[in-house]
Amino acid sequence: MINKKSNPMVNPFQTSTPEDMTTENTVSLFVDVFTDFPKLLSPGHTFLHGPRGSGKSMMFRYLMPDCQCHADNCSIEKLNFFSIYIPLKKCNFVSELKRVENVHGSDIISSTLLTLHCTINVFSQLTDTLKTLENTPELIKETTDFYNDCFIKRLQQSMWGKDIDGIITDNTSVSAIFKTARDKCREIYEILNQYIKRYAINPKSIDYQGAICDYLDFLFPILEGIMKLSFMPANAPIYLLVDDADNLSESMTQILNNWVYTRTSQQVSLKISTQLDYKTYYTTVGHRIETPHDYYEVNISTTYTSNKSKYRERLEAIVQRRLKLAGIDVLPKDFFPEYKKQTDKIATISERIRKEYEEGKWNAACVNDAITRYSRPEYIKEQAGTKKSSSSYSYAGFEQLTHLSSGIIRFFLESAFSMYSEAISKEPSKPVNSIPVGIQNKVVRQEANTFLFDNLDDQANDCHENSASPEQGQQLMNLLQAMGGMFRACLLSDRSERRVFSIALSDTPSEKIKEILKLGVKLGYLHEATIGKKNALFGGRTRLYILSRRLAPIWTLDPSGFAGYLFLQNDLIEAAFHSSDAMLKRVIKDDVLSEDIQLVQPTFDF
Amino acid sequence: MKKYELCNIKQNIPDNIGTFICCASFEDRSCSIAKNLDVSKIAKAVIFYNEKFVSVSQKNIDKLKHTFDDKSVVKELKTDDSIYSTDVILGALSDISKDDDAKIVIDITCFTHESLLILFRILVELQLLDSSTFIYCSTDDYSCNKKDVAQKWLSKGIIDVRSVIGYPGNILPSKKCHLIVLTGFEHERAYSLIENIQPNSLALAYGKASNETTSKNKDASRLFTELLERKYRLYPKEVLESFEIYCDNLKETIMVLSENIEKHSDENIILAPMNNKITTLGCALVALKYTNVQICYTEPFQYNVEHYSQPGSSCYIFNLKNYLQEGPLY
Repeated sequence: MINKKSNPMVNPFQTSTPEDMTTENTVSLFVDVFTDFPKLLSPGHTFLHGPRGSGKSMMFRYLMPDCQCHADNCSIEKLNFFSIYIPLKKCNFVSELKRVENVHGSDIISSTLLTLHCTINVFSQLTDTLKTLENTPELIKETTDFYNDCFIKRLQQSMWGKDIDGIITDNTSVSAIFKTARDKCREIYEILNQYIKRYAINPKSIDYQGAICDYLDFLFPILEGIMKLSFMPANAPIYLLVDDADNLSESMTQILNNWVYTRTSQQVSLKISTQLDYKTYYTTVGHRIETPHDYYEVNISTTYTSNKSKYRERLEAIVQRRLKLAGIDVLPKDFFPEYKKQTDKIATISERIRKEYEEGKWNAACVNDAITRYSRPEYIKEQAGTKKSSSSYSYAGFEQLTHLSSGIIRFFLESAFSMYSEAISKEPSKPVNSIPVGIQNKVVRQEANTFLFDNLDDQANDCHENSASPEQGQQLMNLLQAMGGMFRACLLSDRSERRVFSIALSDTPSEKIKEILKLGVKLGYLHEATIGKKNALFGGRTRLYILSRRLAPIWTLDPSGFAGYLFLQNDLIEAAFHSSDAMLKRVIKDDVLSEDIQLVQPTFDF
Repeated sequence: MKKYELCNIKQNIPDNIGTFICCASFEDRSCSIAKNLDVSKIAKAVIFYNEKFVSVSQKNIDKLKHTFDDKSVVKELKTDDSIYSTDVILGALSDISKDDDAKIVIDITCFTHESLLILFRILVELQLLDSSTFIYCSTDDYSCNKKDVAQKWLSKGIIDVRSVIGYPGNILPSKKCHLIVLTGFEHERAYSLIENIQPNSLALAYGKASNETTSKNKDASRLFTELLERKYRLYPKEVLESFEIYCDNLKETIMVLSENIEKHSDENIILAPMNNKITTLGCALVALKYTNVQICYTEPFQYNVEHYSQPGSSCYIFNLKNYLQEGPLY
């Protein structure tokens, strides 16, 4: 990571897994976003949804006790809550588990596995966090009592009364006691895993003889016991920060939903992050968890795609902080300058529009609206000329780069990292005080192509009709190309709103359309929002799908400002699944673009 | 490990073959070994194929069925259901006894990495490894319709990342995760895998460019190495290692993998074989040796079905009798 001491040669945009970041680095790099997501700080089960790279894990890292103590300059017992980070990685839940799913007792196995997984993380984190605690005899005694009277008792119950050899009498530190508890849980976890592995190869061979644990009878009372210890914050809740819950199988997800369904959030709140692919909201007994009754819901994409200034402010603060830590004392807008020749030309066009507006030429609410809405599209249109190429349009400038990152902080940081690396490689001995416009433009164009599977031509030419490519992948690709093509046609047209970046559904979407659009959202190509239906008489709302601004360079679209949307009917969307070209020809032939273009409310952006 | 011309296979494999095992795929390579065998010396041929590719593999399934005629037994595997595939392979091998005199010969060339690993694990489970001989057919070129190495590709995207049945490892929560990727030509798939696993540290194992198997594609390897390294900006240099593996030397592959694994002995280790099938077997052997190692598989989004490879004229023949001195760990 970035050196604490300023070092201009360190790439200020280097990112790392938040889990591995030191306390100091986390606190120094974190920009407080909790005012955007206040539910995360309050007691109560909360789902935090957002695509990869939107900052979920960083938020969780900052909520951990070491960072909270460092940021507030206080000790653990003064904290308002005590968080425990529980990563759910794919490798933790092996393919062998599928064998035990849907057989008698599978819920018990899944529940035990998830409970032990979390308990191990609880004790592991306590082992690390409490290493620096001053170990008085009183603290050691009360922790030993917790171990013997609470933890071992629960363990004995979970083992169906089997003898547990685990009572401890002397220990040197609180941390060591929690380490013993962690190791004991690991032993039980290993026994369960051995069973699952053997059962997968030969299901008839063995019976499970190990522990059976669940949330309410095992983990929850243990957490309650921990919070009663005098060095823990008094009367404060525990937050279990369950990261990447999409990695759970459906049956494990139902177990987690059982936990959400419990009314224990005042003592233990589950803060669950997902990458928009949470398998189910049903519990194992068929209840559906509902918001706000059972949990709160926060969607980073919706928050940041519906409020451009909030996202820009956050990103600017993050970039400013990173530049400062790297010893680069310039503003983000100066570090990522615009292409002056282009800016000047757009300014000239703006002046022309100003004059023409007064002559009644432009359809806009006011002169500034006309300038915002038409100056850049007019410039792109002029660049395109008769060849309709317009590839000379430059995407340089902090403002444009912010729009291109499409509400996802890591997109910006990854592009900026590449730009910085390229800039410094040109003159290795010279500190980088700004990124040349050519490099900015080149990197974002390259990244747009990479984002859409490296090479669109390959997709079209090499995909065999019977190849292993799932049909839906190709259909999504076709839809994205159709959307880009339509938006490009709008931009080069003489319409009143040319900056179209979204489609809305005119009628109830078919299952196929829902499936493909969901895939697009999951993969980050589309953002989802809702908007009022066309029919003013009956009202109601419909889904709006916004193309990721990150793809804008592929079709040389204008990524800035608020944009319009197109209402499309099912048959047109389904036509795009089969062939983007055929769909685009139909769009032009039927003059679809002349109708139904509407302005998105200014709250929708990115 | 010796390399032979395909026309010399007959002289270099056992005479009494009780079971020949192969996998028919969309690659013409899937028939290269079979057509060079003496069918009269084979009692039974088990021909696997993947349900997902059946339409593009049918031609080669038919060729193999024709080659072995009434000795052939055709079995379907499912790339998206590894439990199902495990049961099919287990069923296909269950009537073979370790005490049989007749030997097993396995053409590993066109199995997916995952199904090969499962097959190998079942051979170990049924104690059939000592009576098995493995053959791997080389290629003359990959992604053969593209001359420019930057344009070459074998597969794109990933549908799923999962542990391979039989190699779950003893993965403990709260331990750090070290990922070792044996890279091949599938840089995008490798990148997606790393994004998906999000390990705490990463080792990239590259095919050694100086040896015969990879020399013809060393430009592609170099290009992809650069691409991969450029992509891994999430990983500061101190947690990103790289080393070379030997694509045609199992012992050396096991040795270098073991060295890296032992450096991370107190971590969960995820091993992702994405190079050739010989190194995939190296990974299997290593995973059975170290309890903290899990093998994972990335199911591709799309294969380059039409131009995946161009069959070579040689093959590697080897057995693994002395590689697994200890019994199975699970």
